[in-house]
Amino acid sequence: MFGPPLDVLLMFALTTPLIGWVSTKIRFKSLCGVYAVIGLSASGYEIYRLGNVFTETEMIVLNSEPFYSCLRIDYLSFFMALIFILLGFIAALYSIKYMEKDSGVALYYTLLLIMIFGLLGVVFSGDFFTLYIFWELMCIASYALVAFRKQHWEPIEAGLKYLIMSSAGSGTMLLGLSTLYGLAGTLNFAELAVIVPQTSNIWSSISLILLVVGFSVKAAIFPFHTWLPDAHPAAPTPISALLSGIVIKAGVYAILRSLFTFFPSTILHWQTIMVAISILTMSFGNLAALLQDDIKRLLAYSSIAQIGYISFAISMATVPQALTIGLTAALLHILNHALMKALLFLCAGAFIYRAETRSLKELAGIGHKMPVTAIAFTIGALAISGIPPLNGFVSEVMIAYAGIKAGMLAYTAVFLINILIGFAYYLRLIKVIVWSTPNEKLDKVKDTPYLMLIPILVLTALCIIIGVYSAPFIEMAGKAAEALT
Amino acid sequence: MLPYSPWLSWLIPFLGSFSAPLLGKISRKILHCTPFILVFISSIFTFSMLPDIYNHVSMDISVKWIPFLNLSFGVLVDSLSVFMASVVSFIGALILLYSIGYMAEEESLSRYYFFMLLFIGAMIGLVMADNLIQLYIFWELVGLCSYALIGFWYKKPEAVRAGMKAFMVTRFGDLCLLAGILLLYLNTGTFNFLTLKDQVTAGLLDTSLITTLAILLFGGAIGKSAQVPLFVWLPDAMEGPTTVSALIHAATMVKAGVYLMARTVMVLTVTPEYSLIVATVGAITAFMAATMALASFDIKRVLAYSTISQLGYMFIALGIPTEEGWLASQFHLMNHALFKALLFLCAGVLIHMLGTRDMRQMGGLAKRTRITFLAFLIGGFSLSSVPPFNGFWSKEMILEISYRLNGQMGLAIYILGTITAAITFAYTIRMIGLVFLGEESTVKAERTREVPKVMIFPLIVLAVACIISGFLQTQFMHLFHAEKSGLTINPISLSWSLLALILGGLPAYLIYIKRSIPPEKITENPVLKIIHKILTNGYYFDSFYNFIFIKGTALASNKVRKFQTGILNVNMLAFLAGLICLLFFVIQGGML
Repeated sequence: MFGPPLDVLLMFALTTPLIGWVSTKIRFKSLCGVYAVIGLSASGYEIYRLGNVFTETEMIVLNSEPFYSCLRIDYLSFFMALIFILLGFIAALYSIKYMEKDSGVALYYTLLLIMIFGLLGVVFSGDFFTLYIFWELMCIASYALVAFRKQHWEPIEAGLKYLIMSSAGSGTMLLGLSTLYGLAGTLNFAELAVIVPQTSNIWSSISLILLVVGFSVKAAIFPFHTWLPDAHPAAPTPISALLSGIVIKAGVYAILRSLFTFFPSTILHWQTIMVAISILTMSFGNLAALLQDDIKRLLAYSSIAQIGYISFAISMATVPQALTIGLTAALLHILNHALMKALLFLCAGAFIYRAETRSLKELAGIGHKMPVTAIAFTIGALAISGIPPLNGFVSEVMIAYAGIKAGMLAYTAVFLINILIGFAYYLRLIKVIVWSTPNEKLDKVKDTPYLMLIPILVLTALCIIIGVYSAPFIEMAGKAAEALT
Repeated sequence: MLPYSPWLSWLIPFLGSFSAPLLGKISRKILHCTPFILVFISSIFTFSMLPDIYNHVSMDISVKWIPFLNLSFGVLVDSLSVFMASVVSFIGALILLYSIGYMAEEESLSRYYFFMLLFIGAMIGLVMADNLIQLYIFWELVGLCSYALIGFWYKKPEAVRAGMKAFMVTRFGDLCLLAGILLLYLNTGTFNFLTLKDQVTAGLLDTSLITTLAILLFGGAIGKSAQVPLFVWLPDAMEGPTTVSALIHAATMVKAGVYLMARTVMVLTVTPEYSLIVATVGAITAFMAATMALASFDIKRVLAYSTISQLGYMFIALGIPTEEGWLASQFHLMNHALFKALLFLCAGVLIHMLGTRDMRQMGGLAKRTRITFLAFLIGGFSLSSVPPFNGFWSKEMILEISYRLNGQMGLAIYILGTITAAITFAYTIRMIGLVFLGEESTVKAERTREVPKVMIFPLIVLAVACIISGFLQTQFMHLFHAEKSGLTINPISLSWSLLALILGGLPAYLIYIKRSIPPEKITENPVLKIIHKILTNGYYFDSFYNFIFIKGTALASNKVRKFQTGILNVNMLAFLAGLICLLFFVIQGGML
């Protein structure tokens, strides 16, 4: 119906409740998790198979009835889809053990699969209408997932806040879409790309603003980020990893798509505003994270800062000479940040799983009780602060280079200072976790269970591999950037 | 050259480091010996390259790495890289040998040896790198290892703080360096040293750009080599094990900055303005650090300040835009590596015996530790450039060249250099007097430990090297294919230097060795009292940074966090305000 990767995922999502019923009958609680992991791997395999097609053609149109030409895949979609499905797989695998004690796991996995389904739909959409539908699907699933542990007050409050903020964003987006439709008479990307540049009046600018603001809420760009520091820590940890790792990236993807496909001439005038916003975003995120005591909240603030880095790279790409390098850097950082932040969240989740607290004061020294997790966590923290030879270094250097190439030396200096501030709180985090003496409360803590350790180690390995041998990954990001321009 | 030496010289310790956690599981003895053996093998490979360098062989071997950025991964074999690699591997091997005794009773040894090996491997990798990005990667790895090693005793909060401080401060310089590298790449399209050199020689870069670039690179070196104003991390770094301090000071880390500068001068045809800045920073650092050493009672801190001061001399030499200056800096680097390693290892013996670093609690140790005393004397005299020890030859070379500098700045730099030489001798004598002479230490009764022979052997090797290396000028110059054969004695500059030694040494002798003037008498004088206070507080650099950067960012962070109210009304208001602002920009800008 929607093409193989989406169909597989939808089928698995819809049958998960059934599997949940079976699992209660046969008293095998992890069955749903295993089922979801299988579903995600099957879908991942389908996406991987698409990769071979790109050697011959630039765009795949999934022209199966009844959604003729609503879905098409270019290399950018493929690149994003790979990240989404990989992280989804990792999070699902981690959830099997992490969510063991919760009730209603069948629902949890259904929502998780629907969220990934929505995310994939967003990047596969060939027009704004389809994109909007998948977008809302993904949003609704994520609200429910944030508020999944409904017996506590915090997830409910955060989920509600997220719902209201995000709906405001969706509303703005819808307003932008209707303006655009009234202007161009179509919402198809390919047709818009031809029509919009010709009709450059004020309404096209306004529709673009409304669209970008709508997406910015999801992408957590300052000042539309306010839901994130509440929602990300409140969600169950695998969901936090997904929210910070990929859901906010869907917002970045939509911004990229709309800016560089339809409005290439308009954005040239927006450089200053875009740079200013990205600088504000990263500075806010970094400064707010600096003295944070809640480990998940700290990571959530850091996600805002990282979104600032990505949007900095995007705004550098608005300068013609830095177009390719800026977009490549942004896309590579999307990949890297997804891996690093997921790694950090999953490690933090492991600490929380064992110590049952999110406060850094109480977690101090836990690294001595959980050495493997602590090493993985340290590697993640060093990677995100741009220490070579880890993956964050590669993309952060490329972003800095894009800034220098765009001739914005002062802004690049601010970006580098922000990296330094980010480095300061990650050093503090490492100090608390690794270089402290554990208190008595942590005496009985053991290292992470194997099932949770595997996803962590996979992510750690990816962080190192991309850092040491980044050539193929840069090439992929470069190809994805080419699809935009 | 042994086959593949340019690669194996750094790959052996670098990859070998990953064996440490495994060996730790097998047996402590194997874990103790393997790192030394690995670095010893690596030093055989580096030394095997020396004959080729003598015969004017130089090469650049590389493999493709990131084609998107026109980046390859390679090793550069030339005089400078092989010379540095030899110094690092030689000192590194001796320090690891010493570690067998010094760290014998420590816990988490595999962590120690993992980072030590990685440290040495990364440092050799840094000097062998054939392009700037590769250099930068190893540069950061060196910083990472020093951070982990300074904070090795994590149960002491000061140690962890010192490690973090070292990493933060040097990282500030690193980002300057990174900006410089990227700016250079933007203008040349290459990271490779040789290609860069060709482009610069062909005149493709204009001079003002070169000055900017070189200053940005210099920013990186200031951080790593602990020059003013970023020297604050090095004295605190003394919280780590003494072997780590020895390694940081003699072979790795701080020498990386000097190497980078030497490489910069080689690759970029630097401008006079830039040279003047480097020399001035060097002279100020040399003087300030030496004065701070006078007021410190922690033996390791005194040695740390002396390192900063000696690095200042190397920067003075690097700021002299002639081949002689460049050579003098490298010669001083080698000599400094030898005597500073010796001094630190001697201090390690004392700390191992007494369990304290405070010189006031030491005293009268000469009788009990004859070999250490003798070795410390040799090291101390080399440090304070007493002829004929090695420090004399290289420091005299630097002073003699700076004596020939023109202009008022040149004169000021020379005078500062000479005064620093006087102060250096003063604090060396103070150190010797306090530690080895006078009344016997009171701590010894409570705690005396045997000093194993593995710790004494490196001392002897280094002491002998300190005596010999000063006379190897001809060979040294030949290694760099220089026409000069060694120090040209200038009678005026030489007599000034000797006078400085007497002027500095005499008061210190009277106070700390003859003890005819009590030190309290000096601190009672009101003017000197203020100076003493300034010196013990390190010219208030720490307080200043603490106020601006730590308190400042913490304040900013607190203010920023107030924005995140978590109240939905406020959040929606921010959302609307943002939307309206953006729409306003569009409407105001009209048909954007």
